[in-house]
Amino acid sequence: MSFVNYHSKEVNCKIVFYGPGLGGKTTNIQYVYQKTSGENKGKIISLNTENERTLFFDFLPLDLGEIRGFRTRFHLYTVPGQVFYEASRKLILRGVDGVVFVADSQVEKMEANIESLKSLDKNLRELGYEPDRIPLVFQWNKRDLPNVSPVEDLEKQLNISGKPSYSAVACEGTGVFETLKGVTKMVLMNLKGGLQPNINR
Amino acid sequence: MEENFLPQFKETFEKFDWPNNQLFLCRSDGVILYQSTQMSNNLDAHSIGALIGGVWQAAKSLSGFIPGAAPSKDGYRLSFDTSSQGVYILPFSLGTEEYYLGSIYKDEENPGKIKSMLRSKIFALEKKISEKTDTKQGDKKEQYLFKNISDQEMDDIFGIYS
Repeated sequence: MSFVNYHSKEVNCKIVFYGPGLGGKTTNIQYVYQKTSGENKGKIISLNTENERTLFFDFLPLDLGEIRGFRTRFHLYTVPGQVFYEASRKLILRGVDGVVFVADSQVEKMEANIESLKSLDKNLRELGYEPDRIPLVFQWNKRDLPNVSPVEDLEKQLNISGKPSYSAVACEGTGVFETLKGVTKMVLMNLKGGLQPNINR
Repeated sequence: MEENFLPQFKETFEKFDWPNNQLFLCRSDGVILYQSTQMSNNLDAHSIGALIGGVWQAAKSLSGFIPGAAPSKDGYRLSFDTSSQGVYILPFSLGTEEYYLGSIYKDEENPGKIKSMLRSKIFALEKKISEKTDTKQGDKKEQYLFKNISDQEMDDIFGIYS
């Protein structure tokens, strides 16, 4: 649920990185964090297990540039990818404006990708969203690994409705900003001009 | 909905004299609407909002596992504290929307008294606003805010990375 503040001329949007465990969701936002200068980013919040797996969520607030006089602020979240954190994933999707589905390109991860995509669809519906109306992009991550599915297979199995997709090697930064830019554009173009709250900041 | 109650919220809590406390108001999705003290980096307040929203929602889900529990008359509130410092989160509803008042405090001799005061103030405010608020949202705009965003405009937004 985006928040447009006409008083201070700024928009706040929530983008969630979704996908199977160990697919590279946290790596994406860590890369964005590394490449963002101090005044444009807040603290990265990571609620992890002891072995650095996401337990609840990662969160990174970003101040990007202006568009048509509106300052743009994005809240990037990742969900925990492991199957048994389904309840947490649903909570984090609440209020979402756009989704990046980070798929693991490795052949043996195809089932996990499909399962995660189904969970995304189910959770969005349970929260009252129409999944087709949520801005969504796919990222085919880990393209540098030897045992990866061809992009055509990933598109065919996962991206049935032909959403924008990007190849990536998130640990090197390849494709990270292209993906973020892609979902950001969709989110901004999906923003409705709503009521005009007055906030104190 | 926010524009109806934020001025009253501000008026109520700005005069609240509590030097070792910071108050935050956020929506259920973690978007921060108000902070009592300007922080050095405004984005840190957004991190706090995300955590307040997240921790509340997680606790609320947990409460669903209490066998046969019915919500208490006053509803739930969330504390994470020692005898003198901690975090306190209080929900309140306006129309169909839920909001959280988060308080982060330290060196407090009697946190219970402050919590009680916060509760009574927020309940009074909730009542006052719900009596006055017209919940109709007839003037809600359904038009898109931005049409036809160009690649150049996107490059400008991401200009901080060039």
